[in-house]
Amino acid sequence: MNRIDAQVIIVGSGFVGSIVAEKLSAQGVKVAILEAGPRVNRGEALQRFLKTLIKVPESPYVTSDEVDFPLAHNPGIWYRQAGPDPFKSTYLKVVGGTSWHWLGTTVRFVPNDFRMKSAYGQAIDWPVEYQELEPFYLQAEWELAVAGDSSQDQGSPRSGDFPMKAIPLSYLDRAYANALDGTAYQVEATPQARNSVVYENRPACCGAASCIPICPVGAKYDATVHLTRAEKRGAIVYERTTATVVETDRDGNVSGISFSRPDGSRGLAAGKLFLLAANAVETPRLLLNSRSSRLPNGVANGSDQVGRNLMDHPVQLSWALSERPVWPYRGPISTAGIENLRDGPHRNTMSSIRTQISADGWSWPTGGLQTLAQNLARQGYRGKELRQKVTDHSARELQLASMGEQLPDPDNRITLESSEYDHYGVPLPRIQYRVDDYTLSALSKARTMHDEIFGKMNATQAQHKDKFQGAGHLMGTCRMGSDPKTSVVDSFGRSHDHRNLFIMGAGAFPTSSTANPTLTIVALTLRMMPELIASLG
Amino acid sequence: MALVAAVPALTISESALPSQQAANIEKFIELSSHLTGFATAEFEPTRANTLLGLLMNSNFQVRLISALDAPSSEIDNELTEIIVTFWYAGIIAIDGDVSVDTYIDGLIWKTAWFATPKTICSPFPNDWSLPPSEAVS
Repeated sequence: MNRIDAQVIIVGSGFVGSIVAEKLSAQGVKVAILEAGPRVNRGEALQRFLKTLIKVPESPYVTSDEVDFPLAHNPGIWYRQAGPDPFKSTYLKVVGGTSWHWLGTTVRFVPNDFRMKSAYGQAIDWPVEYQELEPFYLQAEWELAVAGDSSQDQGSPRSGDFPMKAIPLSYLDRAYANALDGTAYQVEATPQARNSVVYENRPACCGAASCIPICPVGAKYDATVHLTRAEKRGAIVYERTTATVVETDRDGNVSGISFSRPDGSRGLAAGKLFLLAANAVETPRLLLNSRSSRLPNGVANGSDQVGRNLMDHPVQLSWALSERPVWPYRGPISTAGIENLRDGPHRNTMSSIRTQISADGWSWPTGGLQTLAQNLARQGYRGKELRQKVTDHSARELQLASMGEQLPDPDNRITLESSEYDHYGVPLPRIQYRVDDYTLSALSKARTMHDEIFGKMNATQAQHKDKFQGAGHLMGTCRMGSDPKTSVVDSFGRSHDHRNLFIMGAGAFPTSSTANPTLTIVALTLRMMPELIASLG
Repeated sequence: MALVAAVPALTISESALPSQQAANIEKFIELSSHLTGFATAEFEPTRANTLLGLLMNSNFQVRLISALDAPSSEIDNELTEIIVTFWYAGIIAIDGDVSVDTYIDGLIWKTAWFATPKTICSPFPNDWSLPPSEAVS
């Protein structure tokens, strides 16, 4: 039996785990991180991506029987889908977590996102309000090195500036902005954790158009930025070390985390405090797998809310051909969006929408440049006519992706598959999931809105995906709240049931907003830090 | 979809002589040029040999031989798609077997000349904020 001893044991080395490890180790706290996946060699990952046929977000990263995770083109390889809708969002298991293939979008929630019940009679309010979280949003923007336009608050009041100037709008963005001038749709620069200038020894964005699945130069923030600092200060990352059970003692405290490794060895990580920072699928899976005669519902689950209220940002994807060339397929995958539809009285009955202006042409809906020539050949184009058509078509491709807010539903949940297990004997995640009319009606409206926008671009061949897509935003399975009967953790991420257990990440979100979740994850993490440190005595 | 495990050497026929092989590669490049719209100089003989060999050992052998002899004639749609996909996207897709021959060297990047292949840095900082230089000049 291997044993790891530290003051703080962290499960997961993504955004939360890496930042907490860095902050604690800076204060001399002994930290150990258990990470199921291996370290990533950026160069090798780039080569793997280039050689891979199916170029999806997970392509650069290695899966195996010992380190398995869902794939965008085949989530069923890992998820056991119980329906009625498929859950399409995925994640990685590597050192640094899913931060390796996130887009880098760092949009704040708007104030009413925290008070959906009070403002619109929907779902529940958060136990923390925007005003209280605002200083931590600002700190999070500096931690992640966000490039943004400080003069645009996008409905989220700011107390300070971004650490660096915005990533320039693309030619494509400005074509939209010009076409939509005077309409209800305001095109604005998207705050991004992507260097617009050399910053903290990382280069400026070089426009490699591959934020997802991997930035080739490290201009986009990923969690290895904080992990590297944490390790220099003494934190230890145990890679290929999968947490399997959260152990508890008779006093109701967590006593350790059992883990397993690919070589068959097992062990226990013991400490004073424990932080679960995997993601909104793997954290509840671990908690539910930790059930015992004393805790038949699993650890931290006195409320029976662990695994419930799974949310994503269901996406309406639409695409068309602009009248004139807009020159996509250059620069970051998205540098602008339509942010002014994220709040309003419509939320009484229908989800808000955040619209991403995508610069990668038709890549998402059709395969883009990888399939264009073949598709045109199928239509009968040959020779110079084919070549000219490929150039013309690719230069005019438009794509919009509107994300809807999904309300928490206790029946949308992660449970344990009863008869299928991973390499370490932990049941696979079973997902019961449905997108309701509150969100679907907004996606329907998004199609109308996309048509209107494409119309302003004098575009033709407008098409819409008839089913929603996943945004990769896993939220809500360990939600925070003031009442231990209806929530898993308090507003600082502390388990209501176990005082030395913290759970942090998008799983703690009570509602989902329409904002990409990462900046809020980090703001909540930074707000948690004093509570965590105080608990160490 | 199964992946092609390995690319066999050109085997047009057991008795094919090197000179015949070279002639067939030349014909295949002419056919590729005819279908894709690129000059013959754009095609690497080694890569042409790869696809030619695979096609000659596939269900497309008869149709390919016919096309090699008359590249300007109406070419079978399926065969055209295979050849176009190979040269533009760098993907080999024959009889349900699919694999990557190249990503960076696909002709798509010369056709969509303004685009940046994923993972390759753009020529100039922030160049995405301007129209591509060739469009302006």
